[in-house]
Amino acid sequence: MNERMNESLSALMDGEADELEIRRLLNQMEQDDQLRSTWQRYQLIGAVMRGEAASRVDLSQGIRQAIAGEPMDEVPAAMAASSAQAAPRWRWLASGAVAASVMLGVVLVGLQWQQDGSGVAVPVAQQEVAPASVVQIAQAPLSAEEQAQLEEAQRRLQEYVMQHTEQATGSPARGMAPFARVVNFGQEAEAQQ
Amino acid sequence: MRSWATLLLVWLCSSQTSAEGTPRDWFERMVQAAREQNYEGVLVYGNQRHWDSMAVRHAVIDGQEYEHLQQLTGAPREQIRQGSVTDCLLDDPDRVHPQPLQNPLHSFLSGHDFSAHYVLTLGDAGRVAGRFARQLWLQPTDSHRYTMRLWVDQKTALLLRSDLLDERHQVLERFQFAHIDIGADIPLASFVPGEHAHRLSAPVVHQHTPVSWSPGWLPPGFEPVAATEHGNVIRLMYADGVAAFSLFIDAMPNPLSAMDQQWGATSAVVRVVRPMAEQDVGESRRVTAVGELPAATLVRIVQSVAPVNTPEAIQEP
Repeated sequence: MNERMNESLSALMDGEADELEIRRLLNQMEQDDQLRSTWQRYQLIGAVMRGEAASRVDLSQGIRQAIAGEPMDEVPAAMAASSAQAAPRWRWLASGAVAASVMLGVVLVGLQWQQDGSGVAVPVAQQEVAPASVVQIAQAPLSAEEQAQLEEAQRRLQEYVMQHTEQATGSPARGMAPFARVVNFGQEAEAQQ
Repeated sequence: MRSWATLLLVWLCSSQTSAEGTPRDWFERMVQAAREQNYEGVLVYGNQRHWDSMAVRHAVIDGQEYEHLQQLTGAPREQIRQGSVTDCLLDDPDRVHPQPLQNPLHSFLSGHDFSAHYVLTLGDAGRVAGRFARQLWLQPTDSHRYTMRLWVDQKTALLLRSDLLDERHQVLERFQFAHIDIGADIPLASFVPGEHAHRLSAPVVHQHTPVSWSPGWLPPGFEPVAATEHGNVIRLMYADGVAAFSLFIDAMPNPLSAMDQQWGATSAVVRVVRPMAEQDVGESRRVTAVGELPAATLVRIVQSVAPVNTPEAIQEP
């Protein structure tokens, strides 16, 4: 495995690889066992460094789905289809970056380790409830109730991000106003149609 | 002879430094220039996935600040500000609450001491929008905030370009003037809102009221800016003078809430947090952190959130 692949792998791990880079890596990974095992090792290391639990699960299939436009990260396929015309406000989440998928993938790994009961220490003060959504989306279609919960979660997050932007813009006690980002949810979603 | 030469060299170097000013001088001049100079230009801003452009016009007339901001891409938005009063000329019809557009040059506070958490240094010279510029670096002393690389106009100290960089110095977000005129006379007539404009409500006033849940850990240097609890939602905001984040704590422990998102420099982390068994304060809370901080830092903040009345239960992770 050459140095460049190694670097690309690091970039992918950090969510900084561009789409071209990711496609090249995934293609290469199919043929190259060494690259594949390095990728899995990186994920393990990353998860451990972030203090998350981890296990060895191959995530490349999920990532491939994500860049192929299948919304595996937050929005189940069924919902994305049904809401395509009705709710443009979902698209900014549905179109979540590949980087986000990778990140969620790592969380998924963490969850499985915990379910294994492999002796992972949970944080002392609180237990974090595992992000079940990721697992369910990846493995099974959601029930109607779960879809409603997912919609609620996404609507609420968007509302909070808007509120943060508004507060930060009006705040004297901060520097870089988030002017460039979230203001354009709608437009960004449209741009990706 | 050689000692004289050394002395001369030292004198030359030091006189050059003093003529240039310290990084802090540059920073203060930059903050003031954005408020005091007349300028008119077009800037582009965005991240790797999305770019927008905006026309900015700013003048000081009879001691009063005037500003005209017009979004040139996407939904048409246009605002005129006179002092602290903002009139909206055009706004996105889909927007429920019109938000003030922000002049990115006004992103910094004058006289704020952030030296404990950021190091200011002067960088190379460069050119932006046809003007010679000096780089000014704002580098964090820990891993909880991002780096800023600023290009400041050599003549007027006006901010011409800004890059927000992550720990590997990848650009998360950038704004940059494509064209700018500095110092020209801009007539008052350029800032007349017209009859179709409507006035925007006064800027956000930050409140501080007691809250029932709060984070047990904060990155050093972050101070509370606002704290409120209405109904079942706690809203907290913290800033270190350069970066800010908001925390939202609500009683909707929706199991599908947990997620991580990132748009440019803005990260969002959502987790459902349970109090420890012995705290016995009832149900879980959904904790959402949104801000221009690395996601790992937001995760740590979110995980430290606990009921306020049991401070001894809060432990460092």
